Amino acid sequence: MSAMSTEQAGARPGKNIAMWGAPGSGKTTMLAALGIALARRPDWLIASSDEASMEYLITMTNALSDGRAFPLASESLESYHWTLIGPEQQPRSWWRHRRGPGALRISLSLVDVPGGWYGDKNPPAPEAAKKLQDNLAQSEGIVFLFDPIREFEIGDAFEHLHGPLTKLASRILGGPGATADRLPHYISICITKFDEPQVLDTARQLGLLTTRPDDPHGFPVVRSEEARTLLEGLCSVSATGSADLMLNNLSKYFHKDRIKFFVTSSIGFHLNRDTGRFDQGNVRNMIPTTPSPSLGGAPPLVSEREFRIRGQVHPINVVEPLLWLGRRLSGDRTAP
Amino acid sequence: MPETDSGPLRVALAQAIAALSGTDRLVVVAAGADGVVRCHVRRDESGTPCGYRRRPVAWADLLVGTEGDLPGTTDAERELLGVAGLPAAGPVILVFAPDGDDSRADRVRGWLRAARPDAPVFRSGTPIGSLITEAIANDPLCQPYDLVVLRPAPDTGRLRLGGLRLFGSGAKRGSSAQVSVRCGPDGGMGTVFAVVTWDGGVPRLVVQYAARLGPGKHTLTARLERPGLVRFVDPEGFVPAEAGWGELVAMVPPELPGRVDSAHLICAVEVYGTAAEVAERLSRISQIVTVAGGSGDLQASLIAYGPHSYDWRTPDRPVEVLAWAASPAEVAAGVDRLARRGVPKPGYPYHPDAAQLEDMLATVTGLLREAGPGPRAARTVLLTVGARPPHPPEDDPSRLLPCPRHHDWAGLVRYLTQKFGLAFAAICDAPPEPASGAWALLGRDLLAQTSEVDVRGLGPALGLTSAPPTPVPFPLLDEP
Repeated sequence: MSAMSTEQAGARPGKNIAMWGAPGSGKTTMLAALGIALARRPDWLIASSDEASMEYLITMTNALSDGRAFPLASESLESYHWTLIGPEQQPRSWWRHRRGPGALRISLSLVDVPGGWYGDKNPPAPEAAKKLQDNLAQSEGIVFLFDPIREFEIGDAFEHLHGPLTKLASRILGGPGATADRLPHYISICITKFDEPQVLDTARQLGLLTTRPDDPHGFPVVRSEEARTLLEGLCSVSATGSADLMLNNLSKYFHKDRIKFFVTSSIGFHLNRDTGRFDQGNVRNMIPTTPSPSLGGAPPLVSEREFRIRGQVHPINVVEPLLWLGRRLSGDRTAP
Repeated sequence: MPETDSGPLRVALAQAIAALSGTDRLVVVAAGADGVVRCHVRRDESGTPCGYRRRPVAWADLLVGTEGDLPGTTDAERELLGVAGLPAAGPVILVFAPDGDDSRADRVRGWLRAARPDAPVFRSGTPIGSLITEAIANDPLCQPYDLVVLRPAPDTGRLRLGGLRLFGSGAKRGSSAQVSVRCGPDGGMGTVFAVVTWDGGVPRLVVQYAARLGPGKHTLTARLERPGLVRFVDPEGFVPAEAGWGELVAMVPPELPGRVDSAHLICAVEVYGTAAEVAERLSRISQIVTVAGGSGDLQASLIAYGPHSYDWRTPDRPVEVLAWAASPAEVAAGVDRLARRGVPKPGYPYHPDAAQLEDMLATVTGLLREAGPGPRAARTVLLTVGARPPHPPEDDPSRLLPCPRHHDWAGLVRYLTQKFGLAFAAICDAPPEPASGAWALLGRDLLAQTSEVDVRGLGPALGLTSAPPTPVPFPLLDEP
């Protein structure tokens, strides 16, 4: 799990944002891709608030870009502190302040824990479980990662949502004196692994693909407004058929206007080096590192193999879910 | 007076040896300070002059050499003539080396000359053995030397034992000859290269070698070292053969097995995986080409393919054509070259689960197109030996990364079938059942497992041969 706090730098503390997802859904990779995603943007930059966080950021960025290696999944609780520094923007509000005139800053406090802690099969120790629940309860924003490939192969997204969500709702909505009917959190629901052909093909079949006119590479995108449609389409091929329950629960427990969907990829699509363009017949940007146990037979599960990154990393919607949450939590209703 | 120079003796020996025929025997008796020695030269059944030398007898062991009490002359003379063994008729040469005992020398010379007054006498200090050896080595051939070949009848393929001229009569040491023959399947024993002379149609063996040159055409260079000794100096690999002549002749099949008008066997091998896996694949190809190569007019090709690199920092290794429409022997040589190379370890930056099969198919297509509309082999078979499936042309549910060149292996198989009538055989590391995907199509006409393949049955099964080839012990000489 990763948690983020927003604050006006040098002023009052921000509010926590939790990251939530099944093992292998890409939480750690998403954080590792943050540095590259920001480096590819003209507006926002990232700075570390302490030495350990700086080292992690440098190591992860280099590993992803030069070493072409995916970060190892978290095995214990780790904290990092980064600051996103944005462009000048008016009018000023409580969570922004000037870096020079009009510069915006978002301080992130990240706590990374294994995704397995959300499930029933490998529950954390009682102390860690309490910390997990406290963190969710104290967060005002959540980044929820839905891995459609894992859901297609294993189908345990609901398992990793239902338990913690029920506990969270009991604590907030069922406590003494509680009157609210929905959880107060803002939630970015990220449909990850958009670079997988199965996900891309589903989006294509649903007619959801478009490209940004200013993108020189021509990478396909699914607009946030249509991301839920893709999620519904992907839920229909869940291995256990329970993915629709996950979507129903998310819709029931959170305010409709506090949910936003994103179609994301931490490593992005493969870029054809010869043309510098996206090649729709050759999109996968990762390569398995060891032979399949059954050559030429049924393809082994993606979730059970190790991969390396094949080419350049072009993250898709890695920064956007965090920025949207930050803006909404600041009370900025103009945020798209 | 006898000559003291060895020159005239050399000439006399050469002339006497050249004059030998049939059962003639040249006797040379040489006496000197050490005693007396008897040599003789005769031709063996192949006409090769052979020299023999008895153990020299020292004067001390003869009555004639005893000092002081000299027994009767008659006994000493009889004993000496017994050692000399002079025949009553036939060529004889007497040689005397300088002897410190003039009296003894005179007596011995007198007795020997008395026994064969017609024999020429020479004085020479050169050991007689080396002079005879030299004379034999310089003796020109008195009979042609032929290489034993099998001539297949053009119409029936029936095999007839015959000779291919290497050296004609009069050829001298140092002569060389070049001949072209075709080797058939040798059953792993090698082909026997027998040099013979002919005696009324019956071959008389001069020398016999075996060599594993592999099926196909070969050009041999032979050198006449001396009468009775021919060496094959090119190619390498000739070793003396010990098989008996009767045994070899009995091995000759009545006709060439499974003769096919013409066939082209294209062997494509995946040089990716563990060293042991690749070595086994190469071994299968070598066996198949060897077995199939001895039958009919087989062209063979060898193409090696490996993995695609998916990291631009590691260049893709292109498909390699080691032999195209060549002899089985050239393919075998290509296999040897591949066997000496290392193989890339499966894994990043190479795709661990697929290989450049589709690039190989594109290469074969290109080569067949380049060959143009000219005469083609009656049957062309693509034999793919490997483990990994091809890369798809585009992302697909197999999750294999697509071919960087977007080659469509299934489309290429269809094209090769329709355009060139290719037959498809495959030998896969994994068991062929259940056959599915690419290997089912690549092994459409025959699919086997690397460790289980019936090498001898493969040729007939693919129409390369009509029956399992049996070993052909001698080289083949096709009629022009």
